[in-house]
Amino acid sequence: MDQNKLLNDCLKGKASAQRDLYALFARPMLGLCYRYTKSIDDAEDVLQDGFIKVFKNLHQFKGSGELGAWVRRIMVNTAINYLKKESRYQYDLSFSEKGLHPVSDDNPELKLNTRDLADLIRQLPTGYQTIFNMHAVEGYSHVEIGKILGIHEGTSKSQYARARALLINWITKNTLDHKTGKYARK
Amino acid sequence: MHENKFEKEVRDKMDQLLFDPTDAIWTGVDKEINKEKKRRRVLFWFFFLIGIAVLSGLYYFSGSDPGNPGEPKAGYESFHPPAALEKMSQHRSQKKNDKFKKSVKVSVNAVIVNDINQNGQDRDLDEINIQKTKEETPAWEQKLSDSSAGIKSNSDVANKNAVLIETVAVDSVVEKSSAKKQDQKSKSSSWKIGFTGSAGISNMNQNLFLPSNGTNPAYYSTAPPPGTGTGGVYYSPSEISSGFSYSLGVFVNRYLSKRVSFSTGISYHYYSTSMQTGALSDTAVLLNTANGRFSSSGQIYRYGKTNTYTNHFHFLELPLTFSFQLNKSSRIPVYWEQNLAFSYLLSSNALQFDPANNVYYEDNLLLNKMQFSTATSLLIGFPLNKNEVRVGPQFQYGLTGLVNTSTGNEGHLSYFGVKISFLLRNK
Repeated sequence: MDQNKLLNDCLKGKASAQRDLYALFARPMLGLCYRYTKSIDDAEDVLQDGFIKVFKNLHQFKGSGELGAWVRRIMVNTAINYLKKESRYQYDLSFSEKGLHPVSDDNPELKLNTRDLADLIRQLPTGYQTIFNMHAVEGYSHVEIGKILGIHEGTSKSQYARARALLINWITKNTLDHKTGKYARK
Repeated sequence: MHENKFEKEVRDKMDQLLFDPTDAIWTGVDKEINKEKKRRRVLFWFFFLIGIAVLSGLYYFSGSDPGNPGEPKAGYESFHPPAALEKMSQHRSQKKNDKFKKSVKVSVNAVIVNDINQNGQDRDLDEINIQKTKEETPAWEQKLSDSSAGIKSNSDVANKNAVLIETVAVDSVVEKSSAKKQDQKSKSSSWKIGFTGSAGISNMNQNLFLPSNGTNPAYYSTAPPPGTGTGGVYYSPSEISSGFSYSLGVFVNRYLSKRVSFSTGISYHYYSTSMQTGALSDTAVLLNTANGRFSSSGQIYRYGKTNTYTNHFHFLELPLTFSFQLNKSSRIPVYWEQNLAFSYLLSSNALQFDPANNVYYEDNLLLNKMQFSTATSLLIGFPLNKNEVRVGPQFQYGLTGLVNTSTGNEGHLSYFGVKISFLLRNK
């Protein structure tokens, strides 16, 4: 489907176009939301809030870039806001720094499937999870992460190093609990 | 590089992470994004139907007005033979007679001769953007950062440029949209102060569809008192011409939704009309006033066309205004404003006409000081030094009759001109 036509129709308020735009991005965006949250219900809440923002601000999308990237950015921001607002995430989202974590050069081979890897990332503490997703998957620099999360660039780097080390440790030790479907920290 | 290979594999796998959302999500999104549209539609039709009802009512009542132009008045003559004057004075002598009182109410014309007559991203998104950073960062973290070898950012990754371009582009959009959104938030959540002014012409109308001046001279005269037959003699007053009008005011404005706002305030409105009279005379005359009472006046204007007299009306107005943005443009918004105003007549020098004595006289007791009026405007908005100026035509009509008369010929002030509103941005 032509992106410009889809955009124009959405801006004109055509319900069918709005539904098409939603259908185009809903599945990958729910995957994104899933990575940032701890439950599928929370992920769906974020997805709904995110799409409401997408449609209400669609007139501000200038069409110079990829619509998908714009929608993705909104979803990430919505997810971060959600984590900040929801009390059950707030404690885990504090970015205290206890010391510099050594940078790991481990490079394990990822034999995990997509869902298992996503579940492993979601086992990380929320702060680690957020920074890992933003840096490793979305490609934000630590400077950008620092600005968005309101933390220092160094904190972002350190948290990322810890998250990465923890994740690699879990992957190499293959500590997946096949009964619960979750990875256990050992 | 090892670490980049790991991140790249993670990214590739996560890009394939797809879930099927439940139908409830789209239902929620659809309901939310179309809520404002539905509410706006309801508001529009509500006010549209009210407008239709008001116009229909005005049309209906004006159609049943005994002074309507299509209904000739029996026994009326617009000029007077001397014999008819005698009949007039006979009637005056019977003023205690009830029948006569009734006839005066019917016949004495209240002719007022003149008249007389404006986030992806909502605030949450803004919050995440950018501002906080360093002042919240402890000094030791800064040292930590400096001494840290850190993990190399994805800028070393082969597709770094694409990611950064995307990020920068999106950031730009997000920041701009955040700013605009914040404007809209503040727009919708706070009162703004503004100034308004207008200038144009005012006139006196018999009803909404019938200007008074010259089209229906009979409107200003009355049917003769009962018993006078077809010989009753009454005069026609001067035609009323439109005059200059202006208003100045201050108001506060609040957005009820993205496109609907409400404002109220206070303003001064000046109206004027002009008419032809004869010479000013100090002769005392026993007047038959428009509301059926008798009074004497020390100063009168004789019938004639030698003098142009201007009637001034000074009003204090308290308007309640609803504004609807008709288009979606934020650069050149178009607004339709509809207001209802309560106004109080501060002062006036308007002349009334006594058709029996053929004179004009001043009597403010005949004027209804409490007035209600409605106005409609079509305005175009322009940004001016971060504030907003709205300019466009305005039509105003007095719902309340200006003259307290028993004849039904009350007269309604009308105004047509250009309105300018200056809406200050919140600091």
